Amino acid sequence: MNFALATLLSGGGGAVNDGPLAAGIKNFANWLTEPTRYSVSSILAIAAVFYFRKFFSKVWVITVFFALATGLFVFAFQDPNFNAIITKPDNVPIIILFATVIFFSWLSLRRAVINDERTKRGEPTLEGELSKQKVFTWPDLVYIELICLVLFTAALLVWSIMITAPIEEPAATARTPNPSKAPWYFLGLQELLVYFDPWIAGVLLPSFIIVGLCAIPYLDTNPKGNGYYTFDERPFAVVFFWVGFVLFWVSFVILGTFLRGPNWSFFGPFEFWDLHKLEPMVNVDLSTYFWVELLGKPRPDEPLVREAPGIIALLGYFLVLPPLVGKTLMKKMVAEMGMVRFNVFMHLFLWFVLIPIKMGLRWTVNLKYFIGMPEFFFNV
Amino acid sequence: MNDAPQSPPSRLDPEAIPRRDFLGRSALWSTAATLAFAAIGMARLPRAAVVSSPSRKFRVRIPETLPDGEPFLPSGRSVALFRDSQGVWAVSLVCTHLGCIVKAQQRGFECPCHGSRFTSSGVVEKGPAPAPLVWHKVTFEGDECIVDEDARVPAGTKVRA
Repeated sequence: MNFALATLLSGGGGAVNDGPLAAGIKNFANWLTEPTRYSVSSILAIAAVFYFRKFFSKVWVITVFFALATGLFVFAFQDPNFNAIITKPDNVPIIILFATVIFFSWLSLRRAVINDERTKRGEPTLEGELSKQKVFTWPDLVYIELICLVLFTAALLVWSIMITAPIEEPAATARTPNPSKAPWYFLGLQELLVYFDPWIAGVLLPSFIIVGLCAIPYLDTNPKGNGYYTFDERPFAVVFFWVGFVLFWVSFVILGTFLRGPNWSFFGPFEFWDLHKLEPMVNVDLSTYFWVELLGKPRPDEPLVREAPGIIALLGYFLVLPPLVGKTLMKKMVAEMGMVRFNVFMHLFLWFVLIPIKMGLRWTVNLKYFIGMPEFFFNV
Repeated sequence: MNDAPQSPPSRLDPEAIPRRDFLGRSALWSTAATLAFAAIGMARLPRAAVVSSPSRKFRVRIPETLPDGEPFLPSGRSVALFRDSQGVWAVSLVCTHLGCIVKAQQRGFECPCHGSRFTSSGVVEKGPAPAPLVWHKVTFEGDECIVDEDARVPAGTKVRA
C-alpha cells in the first residue's frame, strides 16, 4: 500500500504535462492493472455483479457504465503511451471485442434476471414466450441476413481501406521482434506458455480445452437453462462460464494485447514501453522452496527425490481432491451426474483451476515449477 | 442346312472380356499407380525441403574496445560473444523454452516471447525456460574467433587466444 501511495504521489507514469488529477487517474490505472490486483479485482467485480445482479441488469446502469467508459477512453486517448497501443491497427478489433463482450454479457444477465423473476411469478420465460410466435424464413429472416451481409461487407471494406494491415520488420532467423506477440486469438495460449512448459501449454491444455468443450453436452445433462437465460436455476454453470470465458480467455487477450510489452514484461496502460524495464525477481522451483528454504539443506541430486514435494502435491491435487470434494462439497453433483461423469468433469475442472493457481503463485511468490525435471523434459 | 444367320448374342451370354473384370483390373492398376506415385513422393520426404543455409560455423573478430561482461552480437547470428580476463566465450541466443531469439539487456538476456530472463552466462533467472542457454565452442585462429553453432561446450568454458 505504501508503495502504491508513493507511485500515486510521485506521478511515475503518464505524459509530462498532466495535471494532478489526470496523473492520479493514470497512476491508479497502472497500479490496478498489475496482474495480481487486476485478477483479484475482476473476481471481486464479477462476484459483485452477480450478487447485485438486480441492480447491474438495469438499463440505466449499463448506460452510465458505457458513458463513463467512453469518457475515460477519450481521456486516455490523449495519453501518448495509451494512444500508441490503442491505435495499432491489429489492436482496434480488441477494443471492439472488449465493448461487445461487456455488452452481450450484460444482455444475458439482464434477460436471466427478468426470466428468473417471471419464473418466480409462474410466467413463461421471455424466450419461451417468443418461441410461440412464428415468422417466415422468407422474407423475415433472409432479409435481415441480407442486410447484415451488405452492412458488414461495407464496414469491412471501409475498415480495410482506412486502417491498413500492419507490416512488421522483415523476417530474420537471428532476430525476434520485441515484444513478439501471437495473433490476438492465440494470446491466451501465449500467456499460458509463460507459466507452463511447451508440452503442457501448447499441447495438453489446448487439447483439454477442445475435448472439454466437446464433452460439455455429455457431462452436463441438466435440462435447466436450455434455450433461455437464467441465473437462479444454474448459478454454478453461469459463474463457471463467466470466470472461464470472460475473466480468463478475454482477459488473456486483453492482457496480451495491452499490458504485455517489451521482453514480455507487464506494463500499465499508461506506462512507457521501456525496453530496459527491470523486474528484479528470480523465479524459484518448489523443490528449492522445500529443501533449501524450509529444511535448510541443499537439494538432493536424485531428480525424483528432489522433486518429491511437487510430485506429491500434484498427485494429491489430482487424485485426492476429486473423491474428497465428491464426498463433501459436491455430494449433490455426484448423485446427479454419476461417478464417471463427475470424475471426468472434476479432472477437467482441476486442470482449469491449476492455471490460476500457478499464475497467482508465479506473480506473488515467484514460483517457477511445481515439478522441475529438465533432465526428463518434465516440468509442471 | 442350318445356315440361318447367327442370332445376335443375348445379353445373358457371357462376354468375351467380362466388363466386371475390366472395371476390377482398371481399379487395381490405378490403385497401384497411385500407391507407386505416393511412395515416390514419400521417399523424398526425409530430405528436408529447405534452402541450404550458410555454414553454422563462422569467423568473427571481437572488437578490441569490447568491455568486460558486455555482449558482442555478430550480425545475422544468434550468438553473443563475451570477453574478460579469463578468455572468450560464446552464449547461444536461442531460448531453451520455445526457441525465440533472446535480447541482450544491460544484465543478461530477456526473451521477447514469454518473458524468460537469463544472466549473461545463460543461467535462467525468471520465466518458463527449463534449461540454461547453451554455450558454443570457440576456437582461435590468429586474432579471429571461430564459433561453431553446432558444437556445445559445458558452461564456463572460456578460451584464450
